[in-house]
Parts: sequence; C-alpha cells; structure tokens
Amino acid sequence: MVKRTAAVAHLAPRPALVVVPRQRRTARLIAAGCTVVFGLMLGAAAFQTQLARRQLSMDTLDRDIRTAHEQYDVLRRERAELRSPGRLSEEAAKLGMVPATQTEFVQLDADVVATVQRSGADASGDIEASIDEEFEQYADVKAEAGGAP
Amino acid sequence: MDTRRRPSAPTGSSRTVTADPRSRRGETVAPARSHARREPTVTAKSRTTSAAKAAPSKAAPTHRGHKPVNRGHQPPDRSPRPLQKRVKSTKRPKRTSQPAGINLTFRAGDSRRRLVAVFVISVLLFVAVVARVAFLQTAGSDSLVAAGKAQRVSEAVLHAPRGTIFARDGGELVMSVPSSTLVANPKLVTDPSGVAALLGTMLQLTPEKQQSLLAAFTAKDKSFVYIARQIDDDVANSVMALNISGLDVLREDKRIMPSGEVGRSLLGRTDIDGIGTAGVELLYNEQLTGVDGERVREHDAKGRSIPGSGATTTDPVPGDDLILTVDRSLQFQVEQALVARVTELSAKGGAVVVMDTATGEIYAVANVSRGDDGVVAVTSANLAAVETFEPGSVAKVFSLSAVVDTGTATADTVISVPGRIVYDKGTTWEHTINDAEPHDTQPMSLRDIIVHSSNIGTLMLTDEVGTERFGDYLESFGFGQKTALDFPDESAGIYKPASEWEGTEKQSHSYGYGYSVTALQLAAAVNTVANGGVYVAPKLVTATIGADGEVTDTAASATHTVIQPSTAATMTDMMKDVVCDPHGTGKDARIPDISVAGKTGTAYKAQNGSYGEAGSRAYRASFVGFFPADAPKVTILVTIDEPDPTSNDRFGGKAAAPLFATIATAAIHELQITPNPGDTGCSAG
Repeated sequence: MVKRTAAVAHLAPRPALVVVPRQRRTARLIAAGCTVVFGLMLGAAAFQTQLARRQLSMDTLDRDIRTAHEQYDVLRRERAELRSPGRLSEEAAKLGMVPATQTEFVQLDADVVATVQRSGADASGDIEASIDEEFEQYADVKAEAGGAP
Repeated sequence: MDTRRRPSAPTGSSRTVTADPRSRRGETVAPARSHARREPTVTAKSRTTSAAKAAPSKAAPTHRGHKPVNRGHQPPDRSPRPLQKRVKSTKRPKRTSQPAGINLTFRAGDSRRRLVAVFVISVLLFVAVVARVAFLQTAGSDSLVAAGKAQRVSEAVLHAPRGTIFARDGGELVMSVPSSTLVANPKLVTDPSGVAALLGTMLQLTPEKQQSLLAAFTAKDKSFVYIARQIDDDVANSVMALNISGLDVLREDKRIMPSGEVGRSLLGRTDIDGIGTAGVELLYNEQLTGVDGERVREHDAKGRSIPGSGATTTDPVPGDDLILTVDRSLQFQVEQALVARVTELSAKGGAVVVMDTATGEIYAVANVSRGDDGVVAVTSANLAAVETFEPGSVAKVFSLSAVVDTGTATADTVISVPGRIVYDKGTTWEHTINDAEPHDTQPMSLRDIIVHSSNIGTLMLTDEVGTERFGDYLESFGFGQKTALDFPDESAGIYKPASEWEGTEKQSHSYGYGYSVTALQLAAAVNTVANGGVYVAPKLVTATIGADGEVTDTAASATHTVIQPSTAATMTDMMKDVVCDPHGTGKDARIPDISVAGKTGTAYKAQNGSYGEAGSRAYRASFVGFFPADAPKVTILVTIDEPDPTSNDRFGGKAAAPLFATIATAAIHELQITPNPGDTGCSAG
C-alpha cells in the first residue's frame, strides 16, 4: 500500500520515498503463539489421556484385587471343607476304617529311638510347629490385604 | 428512513401498499391518516426488488406532493406495474375495512415502538435469565450441586470382613465368604406378577416372600428391595441371565461353617447382616466385627471412574480373628460319641466338657438333645453353660475335699455309717436318707465312702466341717457364679449362701442336692482337684489375629487356691480308686495304661416339686474324671440327661463313665497324650 499525501502549500524538499519492508514480527509472534497454544492443547489432551488410561488401569487393578481376595476366601473355604472332620470321617469309612476305641502304648526300645534319631528323621512329630506356621502365613496375608476392599 | 419515499412493493408482511391509481404512475400517495412520516416503511430489500428496479438505486428522498425524481431512462409509469401485480396477488387488502375505491394505506404498525418493546422485553428476559443464573450459582446452588453430585459421585460402604473363628489346630470353624444377593428396583420392574412368579420358582421362595415381592413390585413406592440374600453365585447368575428389568446383584459376605455343624452350640450364629446373635459369635461380636470403610468417587454413566476426579477411600478395618482353644477333630468325635450314647440310652440329651487341666482351655464342648421327631442331634444351645442340674454324688468330691482340707478326717479315717438315717422322725418334716447301695451300719473309711459313694458317710463327715465353712468351700469351687467365659445366657446356677440353708438343705448339699450347677461349673470345680487344688477359670480363646496380622495371645486364666495341694493329692488318690477299685462306681471309665481319677454321680431330677417315687423317677447320670491321674492333662465331664429309667444303665457309672473312656481315648489320640513314667493305669493297683 502506498500512502498518498495531500498537497501542501509550501512545498518543502520532498524526501525520498522508500518502500518500508513488511513487518513480519507480528506474524511470527502469532505463529509462535499458535504453536504454543497448539502444543499446550496437545499436551493437555495427552495428559488427560494418560490420566484416563491410568485411571482405567487402577480400576482394573481394583477389580483384580477384589477378585483375588474373593478367590482367596473361596480357596480357604474349600480347604477347610476338605479338612473337616466330617468329610475325613466319611472318606475313612469308605476305605473301611473305623474309629479307634482303645489305646495301646508300645514301649520302644532305646536302640530303635536312637536309630531313628541318627537317621535325621523328625521323630518329634511336632504338630504345634506346623500349626503355628499356618497361622503365621494367614496373618501375613491378612496384614497385606486384610482391609482390601 | 424517510417515509415520504414512494411506496414500494411489499416484500414482507410489514409492507405498506397502496391501491391508489396514482401510485401506478409513480406518484407519491398521501397517507390516509396523518401518520405520513411513519408510512410506508421501505426496506432495503424492497428497494432492490421493486422500486429500486424502477428507480435508480440512489433515488433521492422525495417530499410530499413532489413527484419522484426519475433518474433513469425508463418512463416513470413503468416501475409501479410489477408492484401492482404483486399487490393484487397478496391477500393483504382484506385487512382493510374501507370501501373499494378509497385511498387505502395498510399500516403494519409502529416499528419503532415494536422495536423498543421487543428490546425492552429482551432486556427484561435477559436480566431475568442473568438473575436466575446468578441465583442458581449462588444462593440456590446447593440443591443443584447436590443433584449433580448425586449423579456422578458414589459413596460406597466398604464392609469390613468379619473375623474368622479358628480351631486351635488351624482349621476354620466359621468364616465369611463372598456370595450374591439379588435385589430389585420395583420402579423399574415392568411385569410385577410375572417377575414375582418367575423369581418364586427359580429361587424357591416361600409363598409369603413371593407375595411380599409382588406387593412391592406393584406398589412401586420403593426403589430397593431384597429378593434373596446370600445365595449361590450360580443361582444369581442364572436369574441375571434373563435380563429382567429392575433386577441387580450385589456382593455380600456370607457366614459359613466349613467344618459342618462341628461346635455349633458353642460357636453360635449371626443374623443375615453378620451380627452375632448367639454363642461365641455374640460373645466376641465386638472383636469379630471390623470397622467399615468408605469409598467416594466420581464416575461416568457406565460406572467408570472419572480420571483426575480423585477418589477418597477409607479402608475398612477387618475384624479380629479368634483362635479358639477348641480342637476341631476332638470336638467332632465328642459330638459323634455323645449322640451315639444318648441314642443308645434312649436319653433326653447330654453334654460333655473337655478341658485342659492346667490352663482351663476348653478342648471341646458338646451338647445334644432329642428332638420332637425323636432324633438325637447336636443342639444350637450351649446346654453346658445355660442348663443347670443338681450334681448328685459328683458333689461328694467337694464335700470330702472340705473334710480333708479342714483336717476333719483323712483318707483312712474310719467312721460307722448306717445304711439309712431318718431325720425329724415323727414330725411332719420327717425324711429319710439312704445310701444307694443298701447296707447295715458298718465301718467305712473316707476312701470307702467315696469309692462306694455313700451319701450318709459323706453327710456325717461334712457335718463336722460346719455349714458355713462348707458353704465357703462350695463358693470357692465356683458355684453360684458364672464362669469366666461369661457365655451368652450362661447360668450362675442355683445356689444359696450357707447362711440361708434350711431344713434338709444342711445335709443335702453334701451329697449334691439343694443346689444346681452347670456342666461347665462342675467340670471346672472338679478340675480344681486335678490341678493341685487351684481353681483355673475355663478359657475359650487362646489368641487373636488383629487387622495388622499380629497374633496376640490372650491372658492366662484367672486362678485361685481352693484346697491345699496335699488335699488335692489325697482326693486324687481316692478318686483313682473310684475307677480302679473292683467295687468302684466308675470302673467303666478305665483306660488301658493310663490312670484315671473320677467320680460318678446319679441324681434324681426334680419334677413338679418332688423327686418322684421309685418307677417314676428321672435321672441325671454323670461322670467327671481326669487323666493321667498322677499328672493330669485333661479333665472330662460327661452328663446324660434322663437315660432310660428302667435300664440298669441309668446310673452315672454305667451311662456316663463308658462315654468318658471313649472320649478320653479320642483325646489321647488328638492331643498326643502319653502316660507318665511308671503309670500303668489301674493294673498298677
């Protein structure tokens, strides 16, 4: 665009007109701004997507934990039922076994006891220890996931 | 806009047109009324469509009476023609009531006023909207916020799992497992009768339940009703597979006994909401019940969490687990054996208590009774704690303990004992006391008295102790007060202080009449002798497992000394003879290779205020013993309620002692009890 100037009464020496180069700074600023805004929007979208993905993952994990917890209880139930005295009694009866009605204590020879002990076998039959261990395992699980929803 | 411009053809409903012939010539027509300045209104469109086509687009405004300047080259009378045609084509002229031929001007209204009015109304509406918005955003926002929140925010209660009840061997006696609960929103049920009938069939609901469901579905005044709670997942899934509108399934914990009915009377039960109502479930309800948690989260229509909205979760605190002192296998065997024995004796019921001599821990408590159908089964009531009975001859253990402990007599002290004693002879209060085994007056040692269970010998010696002092001993043995278990509905027994004993009560207490005890009290009292004279309170819980998984042992049972150790040893020795002596009343309680000490008891049951006459009596047969006698580990009480009165097995030594031997054998196996060195059982004697 060329500016036209009105004629003046007293003509002064007319300055040499030059073509002013177009200012590109504004355009650059706009372009940069647009880029930044676009980048921010893209980042926000990516962030939101990431949030959504992680939330979905958390929901899935929550469901998995709940399912695992239920499965744990079901398995405990099955184990307890399998070990219940009533079932064992029935199974034993099917095998022809009958409840013991008498007790007979046999005096073991000291040599036999010594032989067993030398063999490294656990002759103590420490049931209490295995029971304690079982309770400890249960307690560990409860401590980790007892309150899990 | 200048209204003096020549009227142009109407392009809309608000155009003013004229039928004046002059307008056909392009003349300006004076308004019919004095509103010339406001009519006609010519829009820019009209100028471009009609008049503008006839006149230059920049036609100068004309004045009234002046002819319009025709700057174009077309004759001035040509432009109105199209307008006239259009006027003819409209139906607007019907709006005028003026006769034809009169100069008509159709006025569509005052546009400025309308504009102002529309503007004002718009402004008012806008202000109203803004005001409403402002109100809803401020003072009136609460309900909307709540409504919005209710749509997207869900507050779910996270139920705390109820604690598990373990046996001492690690087996689960009672536990909670997930189950399905069918619920309905009646407002969404489209076919109430059909759905109710279908559910009734599939879930095998009672007619009452089905009817109540139908009523709820029909009334539609609730949005939540239970259909069936804590049912199998398969059943719930099969119902949900039908896609019936308004039905839903929830997850809910169900209380089960994976070991069957083992220990039912001891463990008790919960209601459907998991609250203890009986037995251990009620006794330790507070410990077993955890603290519910809560989860607050925002979710979308499909129930998915809204990302970034943040969920607030308060984790539930699970209830404590209980590790009972009960041995599951022994409990089962004791119940089975008791059922068999009660059935065999045609008895009404029975109870057994098995406890650790030193610690008071209860290994097993069994209660059975005969139902209305005649079948003997384990009861849901813990009769051993709630039912009282007169102990009969078992009480001689306490009487003679007092005799020995006070130094009134020793085991070898001999007194002359008649076969019968008549009190208040010749009066209305006359009463006779006999020994169970008829005999003439004969010398009997204290040992003989207990071995043959002499009522008269016992009361003669106890008389020497003194009523008050003897009463103190009975109280110290634990009678007249609940045990430390404090079991729900536990009885303290019926016991009057010695100062209130009257008449025959002063004698009858010595041989087990005049006061009533529970099986638990009686077992704990005899256990005092087994434990060297120290009473140890019965104990049912050995440890708890907290929410953090920490196993905490419970405190040891309270103890107190009742009799001297030497007295306990003397009594134990004499009680061994009850079992081992060939004439002992408890010889059927023997166990091979392990010595047993015990005492039989056969009591008449009070019926309608009396003990009845021979042939019409009802009996309570008992045996209490412990083994190995020299260093007791287990104390067992067996009591049979109303064995067949015509049978010779109605006595304690016949009805209860054999069952003691059976249970003792089971206990030896389960608890891995071995004889003490040198103990060869009764054969040693």
